[in-house]
Amino acid sequence: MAGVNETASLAGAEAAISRDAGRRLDAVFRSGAGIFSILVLLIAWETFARSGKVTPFMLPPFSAVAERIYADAIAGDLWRNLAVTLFRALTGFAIAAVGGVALGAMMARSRIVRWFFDPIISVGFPMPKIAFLPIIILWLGLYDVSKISVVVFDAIFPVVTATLAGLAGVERELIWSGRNMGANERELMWQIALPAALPQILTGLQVALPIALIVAIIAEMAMGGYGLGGAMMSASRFADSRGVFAGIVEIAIVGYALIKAMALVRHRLLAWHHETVEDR
Amino acid sequence: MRGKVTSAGMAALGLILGLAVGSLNSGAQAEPLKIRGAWVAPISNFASIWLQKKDLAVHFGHSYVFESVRYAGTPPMITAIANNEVEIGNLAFSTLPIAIGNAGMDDIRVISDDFQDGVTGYVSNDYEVLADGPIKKVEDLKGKVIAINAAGAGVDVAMRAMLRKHGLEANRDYTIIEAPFPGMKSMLMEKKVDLIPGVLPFMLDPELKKNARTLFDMKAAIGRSQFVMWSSRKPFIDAHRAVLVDFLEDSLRILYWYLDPKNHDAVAEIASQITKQPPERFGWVFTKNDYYRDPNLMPDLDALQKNVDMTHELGFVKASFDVKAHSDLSLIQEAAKRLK
Repeated sequence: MAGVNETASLAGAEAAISRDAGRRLDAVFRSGAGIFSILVLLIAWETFARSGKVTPFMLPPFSAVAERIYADAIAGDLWRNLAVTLFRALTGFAIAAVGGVALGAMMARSRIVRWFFDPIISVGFPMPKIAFLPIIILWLGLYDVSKISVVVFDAIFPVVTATLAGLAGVERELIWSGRNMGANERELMWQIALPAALPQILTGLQVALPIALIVAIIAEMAMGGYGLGGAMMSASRFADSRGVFAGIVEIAIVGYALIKAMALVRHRLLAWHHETVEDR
Repeated sequence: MRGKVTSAGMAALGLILGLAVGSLNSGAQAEPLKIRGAWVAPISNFASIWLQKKDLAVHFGHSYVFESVRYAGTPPMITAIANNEVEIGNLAFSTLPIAIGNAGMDDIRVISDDFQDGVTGYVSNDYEVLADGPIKKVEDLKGKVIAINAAGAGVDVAMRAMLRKHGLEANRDYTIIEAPFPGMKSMLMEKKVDLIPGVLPFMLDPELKKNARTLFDMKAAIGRSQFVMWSSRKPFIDAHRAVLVDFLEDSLRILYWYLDPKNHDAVAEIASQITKQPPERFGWVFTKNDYYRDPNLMPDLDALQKNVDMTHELGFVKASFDVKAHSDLSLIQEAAKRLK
């Protein structure tokens, strides 16, 4: 009997080790695949740019672009432009996040608020908000306020709709249970509804964050001054293709880092949620 | 016998192929060459008013057809030239070295004048601030916003040169934004920007003249300049030399008409139609109140050399170059000879 138990526990341990090894192998493969495809892309870029089929003006080699990024980093231009762009994108994102969640929550709670804002959201969401840039410049000028405003204007819509959908989808039983246990409306919202809607709200924020970065860069390209977008536009005007491609690579890296950071935040905030538990 | 049949067959095949290639070639020659010419400012840039007098162009529709294409500034033309999307660029003194030095288009050749700035007795571009605003001298621009049509354009480089003389550097001391020329007046009057370049015809806007004043002009900033000129790529010139001479011959014919004082009212009418402004506002066109335009479309290469050297000294290009080696004036000279 003891032998049977030992065999069973050994088999269980082997299976667990095997599962663990499988998971690790899978993780290594997945991260390796990501690096591999990027490497292939960079090698193809370098090879094609050096093939003589295109001029360095049309496509500079990746090595030359990397050299340019290094030179900009040493000179401090990269950090200054990066800081300015991130400041604009993240400030706009933060305002859109707070404002979007607040408006979404108000729309979920109040019929009048929903009646008023629903058509505006429906009409405004699919509109290309960047088209308002000339008006925003006219009203708010050319400095940070106008650039941040256009970021907020663009990024707030996915947050509002995600919050609204998240709160609308909270299970009735949770609300009823809270009410039965004596929770008031405020406690219901803060302690039950918002945490329950958090996965969907975070999805909205994850959509809004890259939008904030993209819009900040487009606004900088249109309005000039410091920032990654302004530097790219300036490089383009002076036929400095290495500068333009350096900007593209920098934006790709920043965008990737922001998306990863946001995913990490989601993971932490939803530590209790089944999506995170299943991931472990 | 078999050999004779094969030879006859080959000869027949050769004849058919020859006829086919010949008919293709004659077809290609019959098709007029499409020449796209770039411009930025209406009226001021010759390409913008060229088609209004195409009735004078005897070769138009025969050896070539001309299409004028508007750009926001001369820098975007560099990309268009690189992509063969425009055959005749209207490059400024600043964008020519950028195209050659930075974009690596060593085969660009200056082929004719468009207009020159800073010529005594003619108009020079100016830089304007609000008449009742706080900017009284160049140094007051520290921390301010300056509008230009496109970074790297002639008005931008001349403005940077002037501000540098007064110890001010772009980005460090002032912010540059891009705006289209027609919108600059409103931006200045709404106090969204502190300095705008004044180019013809926009600098003559009555409301602007009432509310703004000149802080400095381009002549004070950089002296005489070969402000903009027509330029084309050497492979295109080599492939279509005869057609380009036809085009330039027609261009001279049209320019002579525009410069003729007896056509002045008709010229003002054309300018009015293009800009949708009253013709009375165009008394300046092709007079001494306009930019200097060489009557034979000959660019001032000495002025251009100084401008290119200055663009290099300002740090926009790594090295200067001999502008004569990047010019081909034989086309315009040949075209002028035909009209004598």
